[in-house]
Formats: sequence, structure tokens, C-alpha cells
Amino acid sequence: MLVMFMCIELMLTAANLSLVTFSRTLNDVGGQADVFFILVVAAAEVVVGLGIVVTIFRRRATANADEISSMKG
Amino acid sequence: MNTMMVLATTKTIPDLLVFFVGAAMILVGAVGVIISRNPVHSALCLVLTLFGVAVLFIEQQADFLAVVQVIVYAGAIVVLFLFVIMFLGVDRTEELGEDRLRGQRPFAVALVLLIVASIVALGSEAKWSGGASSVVGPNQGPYQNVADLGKAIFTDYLFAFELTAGLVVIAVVGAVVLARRSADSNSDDADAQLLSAQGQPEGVDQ
Repeated sequence: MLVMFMCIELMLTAANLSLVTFSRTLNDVGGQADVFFILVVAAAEVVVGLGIVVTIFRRRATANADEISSMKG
Repeated sequence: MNTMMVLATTKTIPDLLVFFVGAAMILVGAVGVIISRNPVHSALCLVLTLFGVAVLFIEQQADFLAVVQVIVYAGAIVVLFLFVIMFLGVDRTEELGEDRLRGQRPFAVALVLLIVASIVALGSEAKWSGGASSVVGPNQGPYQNVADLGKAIFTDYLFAFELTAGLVVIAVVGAVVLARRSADSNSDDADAQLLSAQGQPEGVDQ
């Protein structure tokens, strides 16, 4: 499940790279400001997501996404 | 066409070399994240990807973002991932079971190829960017980048900046609440057994 989180960060980094490229093509600094905010939101998301993973692991002793298939407990 | 857009399309040999080195680092790191069996190897390949992205940011004259990317993403977020991996011990106990949905990997590869092909086709049809230039402010090159970015964030995007500051505070409070051990005996079975084996009443440190 932690590798899935890392892949989410990869996707956000890909969006950042596209935004910086288009900000240079269109000569606009707004693209770089967007990347700044995406970075902040990604950091907050990682904090909360890893907190959730730690809480799930304390209860069930597994971090495999296929085994966490019921919301009970 | 102003001069900045002309400069953005000229290619010299050092530019191409830096681009290919950065792109190779990104692709090798990204494939390594997916393929590695050990989550620690995946985290290290993610660091390689983020350094490659920082190299490309510097090449595109986004200096502040390159440094912030290295410090925040590679230096804080990946370290947080490694802390959680070591804390949970998933690098020793990860079992890779078989896929529950049949044929999802070939379907994923086909979907990725279809999406990349459609993006390339649509982009080349629209000559890669048809938007208005310099809507927020011009990109004035490597020595003005921090000043321009600061001006844009603190004047045009001030409301978004305050909202993200509030979001970060909420995330920190949420993490503290999630990681706190609660005092009742129904949760945290391992802690309850440990405390009852030691003969202490629970919630004594509250």
C-alpha cells in the first residue's frame, strides 16, 4: 500500500513538470505558483494518508491493500 | 512572439544533454518505483525521480521550485515514507499475492499507451500550446524567479496561500489525532496485552 502512495506522488510530480513546462512556453509565472500550491497539498495529503496507514496497521497487522477489504473494525 | 518564447524553442547541445540526463533519471526512477519488490528500494527510486525532476526544473529556469522540490519532496515526504516503512516493518513481511481482477495489467498497459498517444496527437494538432501568454506575469529568467513568484503568490493568489496554510495546520492536527493511542481497552490489542501482562492499569499515562 505504501508503494501505491509513492505512485500518487509520482503522478503529482508529473503534473508539476507539465505545469512548469507550459509556464515557460507561455511566459507566465502563474504555472509556477500552481506548482507551489500542489506541492503544499501533496505534503498535507502524505501526512494524513500515512497516519491512516499506521492506524490501519495497528489494528490489523497488515498493510496489504487486498486484505483491507471490509470497513468493519 | 516575444523574445522569451523564441528563447524557449532554441536547442543547443548542453540543453539537450541536460534534458536527456534529467529525463533518463526520471524514467529509470519511475520504473524502479513500480518494479521493486522491496518498498525501501521503491522509496530510493522515488528520490532518483525527484532529483531528475529538479534537474529539469532548473533547466526550465524554475529555480525556486527545484530547490523547494528537493527540500520538501525528497527531503521530507520521502523521509516520512521511509519512517513509516521502517516503523511498520513492511519491507520484511510484504507478500505479493496474485491479482484479484483478471487481466488488469495488460489492460493498464493498453490504457496508458492509448492515453499517451491521444495526448501526443491532440497536442501536435494544437501546436502544443495555444493559450494567452503572460496572464499572471512574465517569467523573467533565472535571476528574477523568486521575486516574480513571490509577487504572484502574495498578491494574486493570496487567498489560496492562506487556505493552504490552514490546510497544513489541519493535516498536522489530524496526524496527531490519528497517531494518538486511545485509553480504552478495545483498541490496540497489542498494547492492552502488554499493559495487562505488566499488571498496570490502562490509561495511566493520560
